[in-house]
Amino acid sequence: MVEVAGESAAGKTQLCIQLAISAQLPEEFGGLGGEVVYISTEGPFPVSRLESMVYPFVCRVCDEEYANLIDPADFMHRIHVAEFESMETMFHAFDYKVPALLSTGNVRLVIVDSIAAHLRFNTGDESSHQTPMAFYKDRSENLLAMGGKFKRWANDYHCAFVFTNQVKDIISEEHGGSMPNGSGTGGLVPAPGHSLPTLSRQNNTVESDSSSGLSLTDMGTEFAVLSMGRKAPALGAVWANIINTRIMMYQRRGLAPSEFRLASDTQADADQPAAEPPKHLLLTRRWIENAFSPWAPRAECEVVLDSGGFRHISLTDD
Amino acid sequence: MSRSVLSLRLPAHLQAKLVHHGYHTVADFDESPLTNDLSQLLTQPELRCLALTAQAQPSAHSAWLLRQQAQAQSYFSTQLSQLDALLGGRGVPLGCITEVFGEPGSGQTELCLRLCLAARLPANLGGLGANSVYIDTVGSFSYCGAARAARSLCLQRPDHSDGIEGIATQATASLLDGIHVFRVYAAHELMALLCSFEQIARQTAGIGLVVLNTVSWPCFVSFASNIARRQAMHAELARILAQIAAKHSVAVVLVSQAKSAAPSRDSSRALLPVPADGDVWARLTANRIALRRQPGSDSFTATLCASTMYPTAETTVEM
Repeated sequence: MVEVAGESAAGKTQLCIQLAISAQLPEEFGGLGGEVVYISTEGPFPVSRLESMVYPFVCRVCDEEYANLIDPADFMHRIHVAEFESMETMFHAFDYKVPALLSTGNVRLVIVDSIAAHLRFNTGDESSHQTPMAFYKDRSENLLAMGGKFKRWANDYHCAFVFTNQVKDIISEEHGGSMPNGSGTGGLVPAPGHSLPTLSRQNNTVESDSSSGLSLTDMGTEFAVLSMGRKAPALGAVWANIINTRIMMYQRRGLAPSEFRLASDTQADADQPAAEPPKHLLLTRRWIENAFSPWAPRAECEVVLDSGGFRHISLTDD
Repeated sequence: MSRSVLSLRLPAHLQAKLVHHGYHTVADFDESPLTNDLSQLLTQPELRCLALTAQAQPSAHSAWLLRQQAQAQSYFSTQLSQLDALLGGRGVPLGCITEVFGEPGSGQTELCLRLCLAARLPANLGGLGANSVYIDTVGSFSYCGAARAARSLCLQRPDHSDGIEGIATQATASLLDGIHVFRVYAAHELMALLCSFEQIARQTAGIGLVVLNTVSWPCFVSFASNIARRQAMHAELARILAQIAAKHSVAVVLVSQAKSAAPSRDSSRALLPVPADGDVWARLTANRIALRRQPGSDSFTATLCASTMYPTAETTVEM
């Protein structure tokens, strides 16, 4: 069970589309030779992007003769897309539609993009009549039930699961002054009129499990190094215990990668010590990091997004 | 509250018979009209078995005798010198339960794999030369991960692999051979597996280590909303695991899930993760180790936070 988390527009859906194509490739090119189930919860599935990515991606990854043989339409036939606007329809699909598709035996990858969309505390929603604690309790029960099902299917039907998750802001201590024990919520920004759930320090309640989420400690400092602000993946500790692998995607504006910078170094000579870098060299750079995984060491790499999806430009180990 | 018949150490068919005829608890046996029934219901061997159980009293041993027994208890080295130092300089003890807990991504699976491999090493290298039973409840066991752990172990011990490519790969294969993986999904499956441990021990001779990764997940998934039932399940699992550990002289290593503690005002002090199951296992395990990953590096902080044998301590482990 793999999670891909990142801010919006970090490229999670792009990565998922790339995975959807890759999973269909034959094994000699790193694929699984199977079909893909793609569950989309955040807006319409970007079909045109999929169509435009197939050929360039295959050309990059496979050899010439295979690339000439393929027909993008085939790839699109083998991706089963379902779009869900609400939680109920999504759970209903998980109960009936998805197992039916999986039982054909051809599906090798299930992508849920994103798992967080319908499960976050939406203020001004029809579910806002629930107290926050009841909401979190409900949510963690749903997540646990789903997690149990997915793990079983991953084994029974021999497929991989990839989930996309959103990130949330980590509110630091100074701003969380309304909390009884002064601790940060690590949670969502409440709308006026709603109070934040209180964090209980009792160890044996499942409520505090999901509401505390990932707090200021380790995750926060890791992110502060590379991300723009302090962010942590959404859905809290319950979800973090369900997934096996977490992949983070971030982007920030910065200097161009080293190979481009060398050219400018020769230009900007010694008379301008450490001046502001020329504006045209500041661009949005992206990183993909393996935060944790049971089978691979922690690592991160810088990537670039082009017509054929992501490709890495340098690999650095943490 | 009388003791249930099902918890007595009787053969299963005898228990079923007794329950079927209305003997649910030990108190049911005291009423005299029923004893006549018993001699009609049960065969002679069964009656003898029941009589033996009835007469069995817990006996008191001298502390000296217990010490002698404890001396004979073995350990196996984890092959990570800092972790061994944490555990009294010797390693993971046999015959009792060691708990490891940490947040997701704090190296629990990696540690489990390392321990299985360490147990497989021959005695002259600090291992047991024994097989391990790896009970996977979360689906984090993968061949790649195990092979990677084996390779890094062989690199750590060049004398074992002789530094020659052929022998190194062979050693990896024989190390991995000793890991017997069982995949369970729910609490009842875990119980069934542990109750049939006798059978497993017969089929797979020479088991030295039982790893359960994780013990929290099946209880969460099976009893998502019922905390009391979950706690009861943990207590029952603890009882069975303690029995297995003692009877077969194996080391039992449990992994629990944890969440990070809510930050206090004094954020300069690094906080231990808080076990998701609460303190249930704190009472039932011999050693408790908290694992934390150090941000931005590949090393971990292991804290022995509670132990019946060693003083609490903290160390940095490189895996």
